[in-house]
Amino acid sequence: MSADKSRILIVDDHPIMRFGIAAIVNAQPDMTVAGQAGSCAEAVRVFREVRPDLVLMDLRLPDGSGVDSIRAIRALAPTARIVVLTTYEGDEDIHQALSAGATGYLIKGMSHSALIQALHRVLAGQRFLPPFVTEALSSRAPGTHLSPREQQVLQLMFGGKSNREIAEALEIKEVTVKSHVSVILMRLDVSDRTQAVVEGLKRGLIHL
Amino acid sequence: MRDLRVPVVADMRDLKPARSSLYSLRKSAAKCARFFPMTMLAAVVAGLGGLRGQGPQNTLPVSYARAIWRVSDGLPEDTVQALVQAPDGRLWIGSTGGLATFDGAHIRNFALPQPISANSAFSLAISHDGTLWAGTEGGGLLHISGSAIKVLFTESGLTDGFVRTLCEDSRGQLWVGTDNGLFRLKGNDRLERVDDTAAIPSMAVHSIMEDRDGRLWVGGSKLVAIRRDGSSQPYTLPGAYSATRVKKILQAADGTVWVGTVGGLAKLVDGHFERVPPIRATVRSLLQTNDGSLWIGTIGDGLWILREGQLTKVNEPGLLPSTTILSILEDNYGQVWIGTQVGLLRLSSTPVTIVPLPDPRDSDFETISGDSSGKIFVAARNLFTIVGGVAARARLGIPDVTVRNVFTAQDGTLWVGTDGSGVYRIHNGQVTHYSAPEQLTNNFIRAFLESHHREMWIATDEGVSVLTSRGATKFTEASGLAYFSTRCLVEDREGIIWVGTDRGLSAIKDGAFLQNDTTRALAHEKVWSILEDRQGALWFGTRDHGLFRLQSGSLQQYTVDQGLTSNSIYQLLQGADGTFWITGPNVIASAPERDMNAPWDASKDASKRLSVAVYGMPYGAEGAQLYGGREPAGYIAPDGSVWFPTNQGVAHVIPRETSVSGPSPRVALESVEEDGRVLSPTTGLTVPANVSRLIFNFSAVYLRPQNQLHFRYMLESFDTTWISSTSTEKATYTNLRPGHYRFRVQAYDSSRPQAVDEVSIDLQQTSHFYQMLWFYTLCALLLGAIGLLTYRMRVRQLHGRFAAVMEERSRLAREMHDTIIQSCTGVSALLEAIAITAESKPEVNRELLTLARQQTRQTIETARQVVWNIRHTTENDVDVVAAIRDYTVQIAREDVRFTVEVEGPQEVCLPASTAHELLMTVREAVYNALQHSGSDRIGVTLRQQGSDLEVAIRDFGTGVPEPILTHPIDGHYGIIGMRERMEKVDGTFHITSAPGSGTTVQVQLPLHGRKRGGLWA
Repeated sequence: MSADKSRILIVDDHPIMRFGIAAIVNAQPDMTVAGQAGSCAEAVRVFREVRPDLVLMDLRLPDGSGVDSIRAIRALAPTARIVVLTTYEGDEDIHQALSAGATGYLIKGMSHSALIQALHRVLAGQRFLPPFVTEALSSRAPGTHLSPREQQVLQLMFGGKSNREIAEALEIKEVTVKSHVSVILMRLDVSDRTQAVVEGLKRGLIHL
Repeated sequence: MRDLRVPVVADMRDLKPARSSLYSLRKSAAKCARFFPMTMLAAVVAGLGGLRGQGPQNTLPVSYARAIWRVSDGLPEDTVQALVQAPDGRLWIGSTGGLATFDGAHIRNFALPQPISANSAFSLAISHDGTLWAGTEGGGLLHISGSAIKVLFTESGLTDGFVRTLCEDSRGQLWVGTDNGLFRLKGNDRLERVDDTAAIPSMAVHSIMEDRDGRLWVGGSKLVAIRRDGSSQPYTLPGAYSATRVKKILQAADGTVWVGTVGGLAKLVDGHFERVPPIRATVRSLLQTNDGSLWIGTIGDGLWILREGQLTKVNEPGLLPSTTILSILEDNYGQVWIGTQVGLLRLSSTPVTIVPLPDPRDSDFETISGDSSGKIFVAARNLFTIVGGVAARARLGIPDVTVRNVFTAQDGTLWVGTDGSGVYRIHNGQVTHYSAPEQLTNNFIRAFLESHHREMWIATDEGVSVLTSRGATKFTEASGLAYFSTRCLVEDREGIIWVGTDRGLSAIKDGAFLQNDTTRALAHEKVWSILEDRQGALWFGTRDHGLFRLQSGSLQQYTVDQGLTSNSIYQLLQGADGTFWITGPNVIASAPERDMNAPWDASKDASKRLSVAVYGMPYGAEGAQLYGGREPAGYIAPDGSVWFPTNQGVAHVIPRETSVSGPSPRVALESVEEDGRVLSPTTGLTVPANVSRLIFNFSAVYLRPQNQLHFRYMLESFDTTWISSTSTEKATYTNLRPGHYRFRVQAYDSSRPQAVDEVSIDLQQTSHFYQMLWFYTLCALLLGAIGLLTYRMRVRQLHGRFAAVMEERSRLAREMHDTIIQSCTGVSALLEAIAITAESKPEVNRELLTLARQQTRQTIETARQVVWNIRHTTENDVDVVAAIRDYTVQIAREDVRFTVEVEGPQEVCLPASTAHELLMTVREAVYNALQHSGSDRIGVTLRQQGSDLEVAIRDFGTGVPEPILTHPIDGHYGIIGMRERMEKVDGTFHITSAPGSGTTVQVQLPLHGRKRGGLWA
C-alpha cells in the first residue's frame, strides 16, 4: 500500500457488500481499503486505529444507526470525511446524516464510476450529493421535525398499536398519547394514522 | 148464584144432560159464525151472549198465534208441571226432568245439585224477595237465590218429600202442601207441620190459596179455610168422595172461589160448593186472565174457557198438542203459557185471522180488492168474493178466464184484469172486452188506475195502456217507458202518473215522460208499490231496497236500519187513521203516521228507529207467504180492516190498539269470548294484548214473539254508529287496537223503539309490550347503542386490519430490505468490482465472480423463502424435526452421510416464523459444512434442554480457521447471518471449530414464550 493512496474505511454489516466495495476501491490506483467494520462500535474502533482519509458509512447497522457512528467519528476527528453509502432510507435520514457531518451521500447500487467520482470529490474536500438527495433536502418541509417521543409514538402507530397500547408501551398516559398523535398528524399534514405512518416511512421518520 | 152476573150460566145449570149442553154450545158458535168473521184456527171464544142481544164486540173471535217448545228446543223433559214468571221477566219452568228458565229465546236448564232424590219439579212460587221456591216430587223443598240452592227436607222438619203446592201469603209466610201434611216455614230453614191438630185435620195438600179476606184455603184430601186466628172451617164438595179430591183453588177477580177437583169444577155459591157442568174431568189448573176469562185445564179433557159467562172448550184441531193441561200462566204481556205433557205452549193473541178459500188449490192467489159495499174480491185461480167472513165463488158474467185483479171504479164499473185474456169491463151488466194488440200492450194485467180525468190506466207484463172515451194510448219501452215489465200505478196530486217497473220508475204528465231526480235515483230499483200519503208525500216501495219517500223534492230512504222489518216491500197502504201498512214476503207490519212523516235527518238521527209493529200469523198459518207485484196486493176495507193475500188464505187484520203492554225487553250481556275463552264479566274487562278476536254474546229477556225483538250494539271508540242485529245475538270484533272501549248493547221491541234497555261494559285492550311508549324508547336507545357499538367495532376492526396490513407490509419490507435488497446491492457491488478488476487481477476476478454467483443463487433462494413465508402468514406450528429430516434428504449426496439424531420427543413444533429462522440457520450451517469442511459425515442433533431447544450441526472436516470465525470477511459469510437469525428468535449461536477435527455449530432457542408477530417487539 503506497502512502499516497487515500485510505478508505468501509463500514457495512453486509460482508458481500464490503467485499465488493473493497474490490472496487482497491482497484483504484489512488485508493486502498484501510479497514472494514460491520457495526457502529467496530466502525469507531477501527477508525480510531486506522485513521482513514474517508469513511464509507452504511446507516443501518446491527447495533445502531450509522448517524451515531458519524457523530462519534466527527467527535474524534471533526474533519473526518464521511460518505454515507446506504440503501435509500428517507429524507430525514439524509438530513440527519448530513447534519451529523456526512459530506457525501451515496445510494447502494450506483455504478462504480459514480462511487469513485463521489469518493474523489469528497476526498478533494467537496460535498457529493446526488440530484435526488438535494431534491429531497429542498422539499423537506420546515417544521416537520418530530420530537424523539413523537417519533416513538409514530413508530408504535406503525406497529398498529392503539393509543392505550402505546401508552402502556411508553408508560405514559393515554391522553398524552392522544396529544402526541394530534401533533404528529398536524406536523405531517395528514388526516389519519395510516397516512401518518406512510408519510413517516416516506420521510424516514420511522423505519421498517 | 149471586155471584154469577152472566145469566147464561144460570141457564146452563138447567141443562140436565151435559152432552146436550155441549152440543148447544157448539151450535151457538156455528150460528155465530154466520154473522161475524170466523176463524178456523184460533181458540174461539164465541159468546152465546151474542144471541142474547149483547154487543157484537164482546163476541169477536180472538185469534192466537201459537208457539211450542219441547225437549228438542231445550226443555229438560216434555212434561211441564209448573210455571211462574220471575221478577226479571224470565219464566221458571218446572218439569219432570228438572228446572229450567226461559227468556223468550233460550231455555236454560237449571242444574240441581246432586244428590237430590228427585229431579221432578212439581210446584213453584216466587217469594216476595224475588227468590224461588220449588217443590219436588220426593226430594223436598228447594230455595233458589241466584245460583245458590238450599234443600229443605227431613232435617228441616219436612216429613214428606212430595211437595204439591207452595203459597206465600200476603204476610210473607210460606205455606207448603205435601202429600202428607201442611207445613209452614219458620225462620229460614225450619218447616213446621200445622195440620193434624185439633184445628186442622191431617190431610194431603194439593193447593193452597189465600183469599182477599186473608183466609187460607187449603185443599187436597179435604178442603178447609184457615182463618188468621188459626181456626179453620171445613168445606164439603159435591160428588162422591173420590171425586172431591181438590187439585186447584182459585179466587176470581169477582171474589168467587173456584175449586178444581178430580171430578170437575166447583164454585162457591152462598157458602156451598156447586159443581159446574159440563166439565167432568179432573181440573188440574185454573187461571183467570186479565180480560176476566177463566181458563180451566183438565186432565184428559183439554182446555176450557169461561168468558162472559160462556163456557167453551177449546177444540181447534191441533192447537193443543195434548188434552192434559198441567199448568197455566199468564205473563205480563197477556200471553198465556200452558204446560202440557208434550211441551210448553205459548198463546199470543193476534189481530190477524185467516179466511180460507174453499178450494185448497186456490190458496195460490194474487190480488185482493173490494168495493164500497164491503164486498171483497179475491183473485185466485178462481175469483171469489168474501161476504161476512165467508169466501164464495164469484160469477161476474165473463168467460171462464183466470182473473188476476179486480178494480172497482168510482162509478161502480168493475174492471177485471186477466192472466192472458186482457181486460173485461163490466158496467151495469154490460161486458166489454179489451185486449192486445188493439187497446192493450199486453194481455197479462198487473195493475189498474183510474185517473182524475176518468182515464183507465192499465199496467201489464209489457207496457202500460190508457183507455179513455176517445180511445187507447199505449206506453212502451219504445215510447220512453223505463222498463217493459210494469208493476204499479199511482196518480199524485199534481196529476203525474207514476209507473213502477221492474227496473226503474216512470213519471208521465199529460202524456209525456218526465225525467227528474226521483226517476234517476230509482232507475235501477224494482218498484212494486207506490203510495201517496195523506200529507202528499210519495212513497216508493222497492223489491230490494226498502222504502223511498219523496217530499218537497227530497228523497229519503228507509230500510231495515231505520226499523223496517224487511227491505223487500210488496204493498204499501195507508189506513183512514193514517197508519201505514207495509207488507213483505212473509210479514205484515204497520207503522204510525207520526213516525213515518217525522222529519228525519239520517246523519243526525242515526239511532232513530221507526215504530214498526209486526202482526203474527195465527196458529195454522205460521210462515204464511204474502203476495206482491200485482196490484192490489192489499186492501183496506171501508170498515178499516185490512186484507192481504197469502198462500195460507186471506189474511184479515182488524186493527186495534197496537201498543204493546208489558215491560220492554231486558237486555243482558251473557259472556265475552276472548279468542274462544268464555268469560262472564260483571264490571270491566281487561283484554290481554294477545287476544285478537273478541265476541260479545248478549241476549234479552222478552217473552213475546222474537220477531219484534231487535238488538243494536256499538263499540264506543271503534264503531261510529249503532249496528243493528236481529238474527244473531253476538258481536264480533277482531284485532282491536290497544285502548279503552265501551261495548253497549240495546234491546227494544220494534213497535216501541224508544223503550230501549241497555247494558254496557268497559274494556281495556292492553298493549303488547311492543306497542308501549317505553318499548319504543328502549328500542331507540338499543338502536343507538347498537349503532355506537357497531361504529366502535368497525373502528377497532379497521385498526386491526390496519395493524394486520401494516404487520404484513412491514414483514415483507423487512424481508425485502434485509435479504433481497441487501443481496442485490452486494451482488451489484461485486459486479461493479468485477467490471473494473477484470483485466488486472484474474484470480480476484474469479473469486468475485464466484461470490457473485453464490450470492445471486442465495438471493433467489432467499426470495423464494420470503414468498414461502408469505404463503404461511398464519403462524402454523411447524415440526422442525421433520423439516430438518426433509432438508437433509433433499440435499443428500453420495459422498456425505447425514445423520439426524433427536433426543427426547420426536416432534418439536415451533411457530412457523421461528421454525423458518431455525431452518435457515441449520441450512446455512449444513451448507457451510458441505461446501467447506470436506467432511464425509454431517450430523444434526436436536435436544430439548429445559425449555430450550438445542440444535447442533457437526462435521468432521477441515474446520474453520480461527480468523474466519472472528472476522468472517474472507469466506464464511453465513456466520453473521446465522447469529442474527438466532438472535431474532431470542436464541443463541455458537460456532466452535478446530482445524482437522471439524466444526460444530450450536444454536439454542426457547421453545415457548417468544412474542408473536411483533416486528419491533
